[in-house]
Amino acid sequence: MRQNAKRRQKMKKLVFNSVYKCYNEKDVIRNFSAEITEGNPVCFFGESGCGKTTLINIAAGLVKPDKGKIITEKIAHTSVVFQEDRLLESCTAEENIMLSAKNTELANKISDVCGITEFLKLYPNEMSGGMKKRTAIARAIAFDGDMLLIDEPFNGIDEERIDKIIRFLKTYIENKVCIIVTHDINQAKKLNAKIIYI
Amino acid sequence: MKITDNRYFKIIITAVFWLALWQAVCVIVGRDVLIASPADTFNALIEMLQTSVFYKTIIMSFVRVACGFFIGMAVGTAAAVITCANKTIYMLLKPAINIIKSTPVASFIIIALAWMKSGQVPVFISFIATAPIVWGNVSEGIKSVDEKILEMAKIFEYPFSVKLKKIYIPSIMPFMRSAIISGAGFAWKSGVAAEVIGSPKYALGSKLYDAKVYLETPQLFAWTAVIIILSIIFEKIVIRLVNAAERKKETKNEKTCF
Repeated sequence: MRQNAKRRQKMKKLVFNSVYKCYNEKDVIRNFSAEITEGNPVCFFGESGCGKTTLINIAAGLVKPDKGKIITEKIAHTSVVFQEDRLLESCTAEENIMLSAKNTELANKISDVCGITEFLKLYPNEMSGGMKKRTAIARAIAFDGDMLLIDEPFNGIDEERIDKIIRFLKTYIENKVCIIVTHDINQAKKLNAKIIYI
Repeated sequence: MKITDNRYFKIIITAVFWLALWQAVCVIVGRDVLIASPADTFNALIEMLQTSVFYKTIIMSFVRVACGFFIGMAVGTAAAVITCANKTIYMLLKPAINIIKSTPVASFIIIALAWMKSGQVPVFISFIATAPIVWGNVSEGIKSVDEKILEMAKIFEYPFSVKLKKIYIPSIMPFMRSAIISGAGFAWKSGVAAEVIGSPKYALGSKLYDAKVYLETPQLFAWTAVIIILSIIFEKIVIRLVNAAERKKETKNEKTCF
């Protein structure tokens, strides 16, 4: 018991403590609490506009909650797969990944998993939506943060590739705090993510 | 291809039309003092080309305008960066820039003549003409940077140099390009106007003024033609410099990372 408690103390952890956020006088997040620890991925599930992306932004530190607290433990760097890709238009797929990469070996591996080696030299305006998504995923993994936040990552990617990426992620997030936002509950299940209905 | 589609043919036809119109106006007016004919202007230009003073004059004017223009570019860009980064400085600088924009160039020239030597005034005036244009355009470029891309850069901890090269400069470049084109034109017009009023030695504006005082209308027209040609050359040089800088950046981008 004591060892378990000690282990929990050393774990990377993200806690949402009674978080509130409103936009245009409308409550988007009301009294949201959750504790997410490393190796125990969580999936935020719910209708469009229910505040899933807001929670991801709050977790990433991009948005401040109006009320409540965000507590992080042992999380120094955060990787995010944004819903809208957010690739640098003036850079190729390769440059977009390498500019963020803290771990070159991992960058090579994830580029292979995401099938980016086929279009390394393409600029975002030459890529399809799926290619951009794959590049955004590879960039976030190559950054190798302590926490991985994934917002609707698989739009436009074919099933076979999604399976490959999920297989990779399953192992990769074993020592990460991970939140995934997806409309496809099966993807969450494949990642063994605990589903939180928002 | 039809001969009328040929680029050079079009240029020649346009030139012939305007020269004919110019000649026709000359004949109608009938007074050499008011308007010089194309032939007289051309002869005056040939005579000028044979003197060393002509080359000294164009070099000195070119250097004055170029100095003012490049100082204006640097100061305008720096001011844009500072005012976009700090709202208080923006609040303090904005009225000054608006005053500079709406003050007639002639007022600045007269004031500057009281402060500095006549040879320095065109440099100062070209600077004053360029800096607000560059400031305005570069500020717009900085404001046009996508907030979401900046958030991404924050998340992935891009160093400032990367943010500058990969996010800010690509956003600013289109605005900078239009600032350079309009700034170069304004720098020339204002710089020469300052030379006309200040009359420094070896200056296009001074030659223009002398030609007017001595009623040498063909020389007046010839110097005007020289100013127009130099202004076009200056603009082309500056655009080529921008293109070269952009090409250099693209070549660097093509280097592999893996």
